[in-house]
Amino acid sequence: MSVPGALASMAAIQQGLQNADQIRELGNPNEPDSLVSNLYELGGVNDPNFTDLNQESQFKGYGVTSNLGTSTVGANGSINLGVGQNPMMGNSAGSYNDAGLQAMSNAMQSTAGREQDIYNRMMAMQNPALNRAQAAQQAREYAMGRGGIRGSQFGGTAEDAAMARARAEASNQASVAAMQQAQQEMMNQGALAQGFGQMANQNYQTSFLPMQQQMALMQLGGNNADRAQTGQLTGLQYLAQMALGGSQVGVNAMKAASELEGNLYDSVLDNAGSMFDGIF
Amino acid sequence: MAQQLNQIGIPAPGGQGLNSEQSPFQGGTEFALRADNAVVDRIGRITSREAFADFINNVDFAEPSYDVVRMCRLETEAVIRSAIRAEWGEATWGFSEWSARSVNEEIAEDMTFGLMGLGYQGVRGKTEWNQAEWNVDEWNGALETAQRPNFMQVPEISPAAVVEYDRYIGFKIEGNQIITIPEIAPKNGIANAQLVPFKDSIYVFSKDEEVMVYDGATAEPLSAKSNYLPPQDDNELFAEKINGDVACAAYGRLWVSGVNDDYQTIYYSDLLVPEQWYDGKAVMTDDQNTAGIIDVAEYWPNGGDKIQGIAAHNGFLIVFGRYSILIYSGAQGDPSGEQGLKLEDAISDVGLVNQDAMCNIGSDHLFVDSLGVRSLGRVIQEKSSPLAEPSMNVATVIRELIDSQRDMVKLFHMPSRNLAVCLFPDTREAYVFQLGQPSLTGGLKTTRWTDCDFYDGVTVRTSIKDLALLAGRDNRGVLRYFGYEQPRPYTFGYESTVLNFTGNIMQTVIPKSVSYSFHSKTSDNIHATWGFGSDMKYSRRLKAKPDNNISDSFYTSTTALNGTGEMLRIGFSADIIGEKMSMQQISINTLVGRLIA
Repeated sequence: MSVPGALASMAAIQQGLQNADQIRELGNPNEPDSLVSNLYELGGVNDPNFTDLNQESQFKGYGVTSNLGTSTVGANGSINLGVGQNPMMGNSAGSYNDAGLQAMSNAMQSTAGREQDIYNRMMAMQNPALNRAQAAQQAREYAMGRGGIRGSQFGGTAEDAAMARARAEASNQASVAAMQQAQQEMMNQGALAQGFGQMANQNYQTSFLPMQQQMALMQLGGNNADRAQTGQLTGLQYLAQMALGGSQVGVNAMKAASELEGNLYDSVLDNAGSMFDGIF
Repeated sequence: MAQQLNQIGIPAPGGQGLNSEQSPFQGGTEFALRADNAVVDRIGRITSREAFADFINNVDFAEPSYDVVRMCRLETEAVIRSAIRAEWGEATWGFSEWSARSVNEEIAEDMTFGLMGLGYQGVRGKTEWNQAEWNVDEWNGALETAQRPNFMQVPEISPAAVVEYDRYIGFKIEGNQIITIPEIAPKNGIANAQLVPFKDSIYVFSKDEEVMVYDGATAEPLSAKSNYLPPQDDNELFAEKINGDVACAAYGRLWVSGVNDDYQTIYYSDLLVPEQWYDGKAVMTDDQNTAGIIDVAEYWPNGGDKIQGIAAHNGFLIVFGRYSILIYSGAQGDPSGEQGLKLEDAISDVGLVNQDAMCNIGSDHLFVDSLGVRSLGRVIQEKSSPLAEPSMNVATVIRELIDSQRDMVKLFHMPSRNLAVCLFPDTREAYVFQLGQPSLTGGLKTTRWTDCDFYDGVTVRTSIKDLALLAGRDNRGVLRYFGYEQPRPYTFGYESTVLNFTGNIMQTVIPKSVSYSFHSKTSDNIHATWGFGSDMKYSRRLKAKPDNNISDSFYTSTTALNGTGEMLRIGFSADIIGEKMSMQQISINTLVGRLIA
């Protein structure tokens, strides 16, 4: 190769190296005007306030405030509802529950005592009339001359037996009615227990209504927080994309400069070989 | 001028029976002041009663002394008697009566049952003390005052009242023999005992002894029956045994009082099951038992009384006290049921002197209280104390007898003769009431029987005729009211009331002659009797009729009378020896003397 040729080649190489340097500079973030720097600038990488994406993209928490109270969701996701059960309804539920338990306890008692009480009261109500009826019957019986008669079929007279039967029937009816009444009362107690239980349950559930409402409000607040974070994340994404793009540009510039330099060295070497082909 | 004879005819003299209750000066001639051993026959004549004839005295033991004291009959035709017509006073027996049995040989009849007192006859003064309830143990048949119970040891007691015996024994008539039943030997018989036929057996009630049952073959205590159930409930056995002595069978049940000496209570048996009594247990032995108990204590109208007798009549159950009567309806069916016993009436101051002093005559129930023989039919009808009484024509007389023999007086019915006999055993007399049409006063026509050698009477049904049997005394066995032959003749006698010719009884009467128109076969022992006032001192035998002892015919026999006085009365007496006699008419011819200044 001739010297001009060699010089020319040398110049070309020089030019190529310069180009590679220029390309590398484009990707050098340390160069204020490099493309990467510009992208970094756009991405806020160099902003002193910009810490990092990790920090900036973290959940910041949010809160809602209503007449029921103020609820907050911490950055770590912890929730402070700030609203508890309705105490009045809770107390009411407790009272109903106590009453229901009492009614249930009552409903589970033996009916025998109550039956006897009811029977006694019923008979006490009937006895005066029965006694009057018996006295009248005995007076009639005496007037008919049947006072001293006792027959095998009736123990006394048929009227005595009828009276005794009436008394027995009244007693039986009172007994049955007392049992029914006692059972009804037990069933009533059971129903009351059930009703009280339902009321207790209902009130208990109702006592959580403020919390539900507050949580619903928090859900609304969460939506809004989501929206806010979406904007935040979008901006960060843009910034990240800029920074990433800058990095990518830097890498690409480095790669392109390196490839250019490599190619230049390949060409130099190729050219150097041909130059010594004539010599050697 | 000779005074004209006054003639007075007395048709059917004494045809209205005795009357001691009218003034002897004002009484009609149709009534009699004496009518001994007479009855009023179906056409209204005074007629000799039938005889207390020997019938059966063939006994199967050898006691020195016995009286039949009580008899009854059991409705059955199981007893067959061989009979000869003549013995029964019959010339022929109709075919319809004969019931196709073998000719002239056999007669079916009710079973006759009775009690007889055996051995020593003692007397005691129960009547004076109005005691009806001394038993043999207390008395032991001793006569000496020192052996009487202490309460009797008072010197005023006179031994003239109730006969007691060493022992009593049951018997039945079988054929022509009295067959004793040794198993039936109650302590009481002549009083405080009762024979009650019921269903197919006879129930022998005796005070403080269990009722014995005799069915014609076997005698045993009621409690020996397999289905015997004493009155009881879950708390109490009211009586282990039925040991009352006032009893009655009616409306399908036995009704008994005096159980355990309780004369305020009546125990009645189950319907047609006399072994079963009140069952008040919660679980009955027999679910269909309808026996029961009646306590009458609170229903005596006088505040208290004692059950003296129980009877049934006209659908009613009659409970007699000593001084009062309770009349119950509804004894049929179940007495304790709704339509059961009901006290229809409670009558005060009328009672029953003893349990044997009553009889049912079908249309009425007669009983004896202290005032005489009463008629329950009237009581029921009038719903009040009886205003009329069958014995009203002899009230004064019979009241005295009742008062002296109240424990022993008996009343029984002779349906085949239509008579009710009120018997006074202590004096062996009876006042006999002709049932049917009463006398002009409303009282029953009454006559008097004497020589009553019996304690009781019962009418026994046979396939031929009814037998009026009498419980004979003095070893005579069973008598029959039949024919006109007694071991001793009896006197049929009549005395009129005062015969008033002029309407002025204070005028001397001079009887001249009397004619008796009578119907008889014999006229052997007929005497005219007459007198003035209560002194019937004249008597003259009538001359015999032409066909004396040949034929049963009417005859008028006339005899002259003598004497003079005021208040003339006429009569007759006839010894009945085998033949019946009826007095048709008496006609008297008299002159009237001076007026008594």
